[in-house]
Amino acid sequence: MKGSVDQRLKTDLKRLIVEECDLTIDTDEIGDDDLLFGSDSRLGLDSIDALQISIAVQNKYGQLITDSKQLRKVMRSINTFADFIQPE
Amino acid sequence: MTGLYIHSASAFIGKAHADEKLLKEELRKYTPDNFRRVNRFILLALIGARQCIHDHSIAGDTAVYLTTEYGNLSNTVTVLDEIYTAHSLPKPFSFINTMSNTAAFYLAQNLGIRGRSLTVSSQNLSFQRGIDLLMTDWSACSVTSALIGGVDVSSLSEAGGDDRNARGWQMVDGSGWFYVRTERKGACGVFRENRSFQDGATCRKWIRDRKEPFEDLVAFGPSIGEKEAAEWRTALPTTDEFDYLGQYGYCGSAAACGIGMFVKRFRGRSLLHIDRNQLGNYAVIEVEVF
Repeated sequence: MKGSVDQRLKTDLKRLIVEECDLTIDTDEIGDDDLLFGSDSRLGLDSIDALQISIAVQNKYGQLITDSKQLRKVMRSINTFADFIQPE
Repeated sequence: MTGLYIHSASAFIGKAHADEKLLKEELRKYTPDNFRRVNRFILLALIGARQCIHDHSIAGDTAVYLTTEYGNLSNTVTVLDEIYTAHSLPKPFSFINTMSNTAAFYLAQNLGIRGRSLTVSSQNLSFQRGIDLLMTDWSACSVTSALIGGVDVSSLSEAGGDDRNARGWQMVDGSGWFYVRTERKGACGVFRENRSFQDGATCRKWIRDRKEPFEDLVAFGPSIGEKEAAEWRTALPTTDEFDYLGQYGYCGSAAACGIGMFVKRFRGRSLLHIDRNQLGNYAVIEVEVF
């Protein structure tokens, strides 16, 4: 099952982002296609957040993201992130 | 006379291991800003300093001198564990926050001040050394207003089961701050003296030979043991004592917190604070509250 259709995985990822980035919002407030990073994003995460998340993902899911271009692509939204963790 | 006029002082004493959410709630009383990526040490620094300047507008070029005995100790332990025990990468937020000056940065950013900022640690006498550095900058006229404080998270490594250390002091989180300026007008007190001595004998001689003998309250810092405190009591002209360690508890920045508490509580009084380091060097701070 692709990650973007796995609701449980997506909820786990939202919880991970909220906890790791010390956000003060509920996981329900993060839409599956919402932009996670940049000034257009409601969350407004930045590069240090990205690094924090990538290390947490490595520890939890064993997935390592080493390339910054890949990082931006993977962490665009919860759906893209979930597909990276669970491609099929 | 140092010329360090105290315009405001604070002493935040927090319960050891209190939930960080409670610290954030406390901080919200003083600033609407939301702080992410901060740890307990940074929160304590922000709370203490914010309490200190609560009713004051401060100059944009105000400097920050943050003194600490242990700094971000818990963060540092976590990061070292991640690197050397778990053989994994440390998390960026933890790694960044191991640098103690991160707290001074957050403080300067939150207060919108652009003066110099530095973090000072010197075994057992960190606050006293911070004042030394501030006085050096003061005399060079490179700083005319400053926030100087001591911040430490409770360390329970030497504590018994009831959060007390071997000397029976409650282990606490502490953040004591002073807003100091060169101007006397509007001040609530002054650091009259800040002196260092090679040893106890030199320190006692200086106190004995002073032209203006000290006759008010005395306080002993954490490194002065019970036996030595008893000797000091017989040598000093006063026996009135401000036992801030017994009353408020101990942390690495107990001296800054104790003196901050004194300024808040004792109008019209003076305090002679005596402490030493493990090498036997002594330091005396004298504070007068108007």
